Amino acid sequence: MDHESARAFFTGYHDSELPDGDRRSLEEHLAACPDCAAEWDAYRKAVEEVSGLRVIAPSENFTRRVSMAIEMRGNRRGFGGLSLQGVRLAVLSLVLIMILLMAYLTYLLLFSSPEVPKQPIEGATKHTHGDVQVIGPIHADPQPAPEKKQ
Amino acid sequence: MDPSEEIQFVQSLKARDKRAFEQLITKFKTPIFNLLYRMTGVREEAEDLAQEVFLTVYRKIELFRGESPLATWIYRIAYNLCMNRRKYLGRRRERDRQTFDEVVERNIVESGTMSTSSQVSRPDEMAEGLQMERLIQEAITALDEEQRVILVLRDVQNMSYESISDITGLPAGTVKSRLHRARMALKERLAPYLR
Repeated sequence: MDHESARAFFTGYHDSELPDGDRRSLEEHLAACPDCAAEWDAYRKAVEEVSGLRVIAPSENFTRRVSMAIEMRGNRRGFGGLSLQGVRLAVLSLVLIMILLMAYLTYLLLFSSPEVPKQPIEGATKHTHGDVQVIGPIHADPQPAPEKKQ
Repeated sequence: MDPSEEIQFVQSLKARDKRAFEQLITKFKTPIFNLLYRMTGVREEAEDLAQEVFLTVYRKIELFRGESPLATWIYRIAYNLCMNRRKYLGRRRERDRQTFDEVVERNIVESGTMSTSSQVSRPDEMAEGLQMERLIQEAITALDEEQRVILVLRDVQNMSYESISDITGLPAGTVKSRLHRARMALKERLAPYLR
């Protein structure tokens, strides 16, 4: 076994994942090669140091902080609150009502306020009906005024 | 928690039971925070990310189908968030960061255990332990991100190759090769201090 092959086996060897044949070959090589033995020793110590790192806990108020964040930001739905589907339905209904209201107002503006001419239109007839002065009807295609003879 | 208990627990989570969520946070906050802390080396960043993990769990719990254990699913969220954390943190306002030394000093009081491999009581030994821990954390943080997460899951969180594959979605062979490269790089960095 050469040095490169031996070092490629370090992880499998450390984690007891090497087949028996490879493990024996590596152990024989390590026994005979001081360089690889030193490398293996450094490898093992480095892994041990990482594995021995302390477990670090979050701050004491972490649980409360997350609960508050859920209340504020979680799905726009706090614990036991209105569902997202319910909120969507309410918004959709509101929008629909607004559209219908706008359509109705538009209709009123366009069709329900007739323009009353301020000056009598030529060709229109005037007559009174009680107190109300009525103008019309107007001919759609009024006859042209006869030309004056010179 | 056995599988039937976990099914009931997940149902409580899906029903938005506040007590169930608090139980979930209590159970997972330390391992998830520790993973994120070892990945980032910055306490505040790790707390922000850990909070985002639990918010994501809350938002997405309805999508959990029980095809893997709940713990694996939560770790998967943490892993994805960790790998995309630059994007996530870019959206957050910049905050002052605590140095690693400050974090370690503060946590020494909170934590019952000390040092990397033994109980330390004398001030000189404590300082030595802190120094070693700082060096190890720096060496971890200096690793390529894809290698680092595998190393942390395996050697810090003590997970099996199978669990790491489930969490990361990587084939076992890729997990092993990345772990090997991570450990070799770590050995090179720490060798001068471990003689």
